[in-house]
Amino acid sequence: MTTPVIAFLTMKGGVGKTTLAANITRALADQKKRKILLIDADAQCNLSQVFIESDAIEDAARSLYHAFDTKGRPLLAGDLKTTIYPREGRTAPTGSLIDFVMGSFDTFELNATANTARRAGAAQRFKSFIDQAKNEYDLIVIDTNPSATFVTMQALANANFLVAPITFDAFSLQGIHLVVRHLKDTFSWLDNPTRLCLVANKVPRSPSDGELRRLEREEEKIKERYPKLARSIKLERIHSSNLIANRAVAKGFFADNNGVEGGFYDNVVQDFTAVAKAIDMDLDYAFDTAKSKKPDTSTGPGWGTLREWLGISAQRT
Amino acid sequence: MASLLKELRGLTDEDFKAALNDAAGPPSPAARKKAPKKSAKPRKDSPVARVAKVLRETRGLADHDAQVWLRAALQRDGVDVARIPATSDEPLEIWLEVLFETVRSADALAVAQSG
Repeated sequence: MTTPVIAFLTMKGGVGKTTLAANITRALADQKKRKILLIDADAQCNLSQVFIESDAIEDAARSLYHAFDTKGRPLLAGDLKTTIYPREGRTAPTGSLIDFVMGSFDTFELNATANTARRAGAAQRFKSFIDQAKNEYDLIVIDTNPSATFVTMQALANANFLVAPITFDAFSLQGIHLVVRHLKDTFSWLDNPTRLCLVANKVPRSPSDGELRRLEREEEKIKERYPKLARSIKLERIHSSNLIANRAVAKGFFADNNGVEGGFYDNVVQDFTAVAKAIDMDLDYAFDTAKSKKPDTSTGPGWGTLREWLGISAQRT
Repeated sequence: MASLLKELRGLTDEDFKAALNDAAGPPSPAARKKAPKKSAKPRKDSPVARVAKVLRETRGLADHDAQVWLRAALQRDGVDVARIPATSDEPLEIWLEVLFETVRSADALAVAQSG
């Protein structure tokens, strides 16, 4: 089984890429037991700020930059990760785990350098880093910067599935069109619509009939313009929410705030769950991910280990 | 203890999990309160509502005929028949909910709109 490596990318900023990357990753962890590596590959470190205080990001001794670093021994995910789910001392209901590699402002240096040998060495180190992580994790998710930087290109070079948040406007679609049109020759998998997942974000939660028709027309226009992407547009959507719009509230995963604030988080989390379920099915179609190949590293005994402890066979004899 | 182990050894995977769940007791009132509400009617822009609308309004199909039609159309589109549930007397929305557990809703909408 190929380990899915999802890049969250679009060339249009402000469409909710980072919020979706964080919360869809969490929803994927809550779908079924998975060991996930989440990577912040954006030098702006927006995703890192969702989970880690800004001072700690600046002072971090280890970050994504070190996955590109050619000095010393090649670093592994285990050297750079922080476990962000479940919280310390807790167990996720599904037994899932999310490790996080924080972003780094230092990656700007890699994006800016004109030294081709330096870049080639850094690219090789990052490839080794991802290749090793593929052996250890069921799923790797990379949040990228909305521009064609060196680090974003390395994320795409090592990814095999793209999730692109879209809003129903011309510029948003142009953002994904730019990626597919200009990069499909370099990264052939981008030319395969089954590897692309377009998620509509900021859709009105309770549209009037007129607004509903407008949204359907917008979607039809997109399909007419990019017929190849028609089935890549998910029917499952993320609806507008003040909770999402207000980043001051958006610390950590929305799912951890479920049940508070008058139940508004329930709606938001249900949207992320529905989209994650759709992506999960896409991954199953594309990579046959139904069975996990990774060793069980969750805390506490899983079903298999509990059975072994009790000396019980899996099937009735 | 020995008799308990003997009994456990005879259980299937599902029976084993069910027995453990039973042993854990019913969910607490707080846990029940947190459970998401299941709305009887799907949202107007939900995948189920959108596909049902195309089948009923654009294709003019009754609930059962819509299931038969979409089943055949999905198979023609290359969807493995094992992924498609058998038709039922349930409302179309219920059948579509089950269908979308195993078939991508975007594929179903594309098939419903095509031809």
